[in-house]
Amino acid sequence: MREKLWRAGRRLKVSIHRHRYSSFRSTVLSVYIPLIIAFILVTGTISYTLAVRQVEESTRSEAANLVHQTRLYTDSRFQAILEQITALTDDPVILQLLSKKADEITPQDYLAVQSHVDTIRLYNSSIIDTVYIDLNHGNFHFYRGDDDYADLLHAYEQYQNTMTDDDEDHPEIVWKIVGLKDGDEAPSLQTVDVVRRIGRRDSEKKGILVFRLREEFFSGIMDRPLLGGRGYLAMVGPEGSSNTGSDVPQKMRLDEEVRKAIYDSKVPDGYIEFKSPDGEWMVAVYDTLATNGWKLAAVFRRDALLDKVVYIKYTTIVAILILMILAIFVTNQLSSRIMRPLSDLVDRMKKMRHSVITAPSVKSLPARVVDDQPANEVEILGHGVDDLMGHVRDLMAQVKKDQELQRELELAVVQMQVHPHFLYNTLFAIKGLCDMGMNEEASKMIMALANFFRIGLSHGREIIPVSQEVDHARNYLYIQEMRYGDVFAYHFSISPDIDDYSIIKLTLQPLVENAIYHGVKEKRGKGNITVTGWLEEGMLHFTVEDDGMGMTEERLQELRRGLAESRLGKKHVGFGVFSVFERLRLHYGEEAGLEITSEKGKGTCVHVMLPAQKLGDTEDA
Amino acid sequence: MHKILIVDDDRIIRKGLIQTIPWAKNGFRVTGEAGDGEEALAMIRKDPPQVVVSDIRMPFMDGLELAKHTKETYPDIKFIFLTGYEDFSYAKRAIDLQAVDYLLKPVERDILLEKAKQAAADWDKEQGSKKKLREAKPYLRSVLFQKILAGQESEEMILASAEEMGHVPAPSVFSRDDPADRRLHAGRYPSARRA
Repeated sequence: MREKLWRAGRRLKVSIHRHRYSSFRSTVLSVYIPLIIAFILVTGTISYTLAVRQVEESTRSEAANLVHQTRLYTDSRFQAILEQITALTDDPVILQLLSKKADEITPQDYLAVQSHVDTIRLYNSSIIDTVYIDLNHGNFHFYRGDDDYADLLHAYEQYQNTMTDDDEDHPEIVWKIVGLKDGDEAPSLQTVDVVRRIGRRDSEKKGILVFRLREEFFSGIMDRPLLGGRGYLAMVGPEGSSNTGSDVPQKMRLDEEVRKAIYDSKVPDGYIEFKSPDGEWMVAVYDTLATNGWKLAAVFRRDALLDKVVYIKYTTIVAILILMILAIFVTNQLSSRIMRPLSDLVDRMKKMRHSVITAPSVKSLPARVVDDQPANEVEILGHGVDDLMGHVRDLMAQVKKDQELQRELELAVVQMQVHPHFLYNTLFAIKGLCDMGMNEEASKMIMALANFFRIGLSHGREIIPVSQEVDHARNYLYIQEMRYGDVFAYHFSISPDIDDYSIIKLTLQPLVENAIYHGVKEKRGKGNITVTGWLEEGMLHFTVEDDGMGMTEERLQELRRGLAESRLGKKHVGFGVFSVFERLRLHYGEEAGLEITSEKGKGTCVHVMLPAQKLGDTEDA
Repeated sequence: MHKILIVDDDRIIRKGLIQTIPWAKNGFRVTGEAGDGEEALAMIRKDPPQVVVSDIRMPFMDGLELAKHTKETYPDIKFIFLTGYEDFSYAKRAIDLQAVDYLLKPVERDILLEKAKQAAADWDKEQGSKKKLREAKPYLRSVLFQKILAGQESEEMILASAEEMGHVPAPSVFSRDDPADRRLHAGRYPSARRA
């Protein structure tokens, strides 16, 4: 089972591998697209992170700014309070009252104090709620405020006790949080009492002065909605913090630990991060009040920031997706475009391989195996180049062979044109005739010889009129008949209408030569050589027929094979016929033909056919 | 009068050789003309000439074949080859056949005539010495027997004379009692051994 799975896995891997690398394009795509996607993702992530951090920063600084402004304002108001308090404590009336005994205090004193306090209250009505003065443990006490006196008395007595204790640690001015106690939690700041000790600590005569500040003042400060309601301002004191502000949810309140951390922080302004009771991360940005050392904090959920960046996040994701799709699309297109020349080349290479293999001149060459397995472009090109190189090599070998053949043919033609043996044999014959006094015959033979060579050369032209080619053969036969007339006679039967057609020179004479030397001379008695020529269906036909010795069937087949396969015959007969055939083919192509028929002892006939062309149809050098 | 045969497949050359050379004035009679070796051989057999002037390249039987066949029956006939081929293999074969000469065509009439006369003269000489030898044979034989009987000449000399006359002596002529001697003697005369 495991083996099967493993095999299946391997097959899958191989087919993926094959598919992936089967084409250059898909290789490119499978490499670039993941790359681009990776880059896009990295870029997106980085920019998102940076944006988020930036937003965090700006939000925090926004909060810090708010806190700072609020702190400054609060400080200025508190400063005013402090001045008032100090002014009042330094009031001579109060001082006098300090040293007075209880029974020395007159209604005038009360009036004086009242007038002072009223003035203070008048000018600070927005912030000062009640004023309470207690001197010498109740000897003189004065209260001015809106609220019911009785509720506050207990609290004030507490102050009295604490403030006038003989303790060096106790400062002159103490700020006290007044607030509702919510169960076991620290008092939630509703307002603040500012308590000032009157008199020196170590003196017997002392008192306190309490300003209770208005709740409205604090709620006015704290009630600023922060971050769209996700945060709130809090005043943090030594014993508690304000949780006023519009409906601060329970879970966002500062717990004791956090409050302490904020209050105790040595850093005048900064921020801390903490976890709310239900696990939310919260941030508190705080500043320190110069007047009382309390802290003012802007508290908000950390992910309130994220709300702002939520839209950044989503926008980024959407942008990434769009970019990825675009990237894939564009890469596809681009790679197509880039690959197009390569694909074209590959297609051309494929076509070329097939067409070269089926080219007629190459058909005779050994077939090349065409590998049709799907391969990638580089492999195809590689195969193509290999094939081409192979073909080039084969063709070059063929060309070399052809060139050798050509050279041999040219040599043969030159030889046939010059015909040295024939020339001097004929000259000797002419000499013989002269010696014998047969001047008439000698003269004719000289003419025949001269004409023979003149036509044979034909000013170097290859194409001559049929009439001249026939004359060439005629002259040849005349000369030979003079010498070997015992052995043969000859006849010409040329249709007159072909005289003006064109033919390659040295077509008939070699055939006639064969008819003499391999035909009639080899057979006893007087033989016959006939040369005919006629026009039939656009083709010129010539036959050179003799009733001489002929050839055996085997020799005939050998000759025919030799012609068909462009190989030279071993005997002289072979070469003469072969060269005529090759030259016809070279000039007229497949249309020209040469056929031999023969029977041993009976004779031979060579039949030549070529396309009928009038002189001037084809220009020849 | 010497007889001469002209052989060449080219009839102009043949006719030329016959007509333009004054054979009769030089003691030659042209017995015939042949166009090929076979024809010539038949003519030779019918009326053997002393000299044959022949081309080499001819149909049916070439000149050298003709000479070879002729020599089997008529070893004395002199051959003069005419040819247009400067071919050393032909020349060599011609020499092997003890041709009188090997001339390149076209041949100068005077030269051919000279060669023919020389050939005829050689033939005469050979015929003369042969004839003499034939006539003298009985006499020589009696002289030889006398020598043998007389025992004057050495064995070698006697054997040489015998061979000259065309005799092949049998070893028994020189038999001795000692077989070893016979063997010894037999070894010295290779012709005796052959017999």
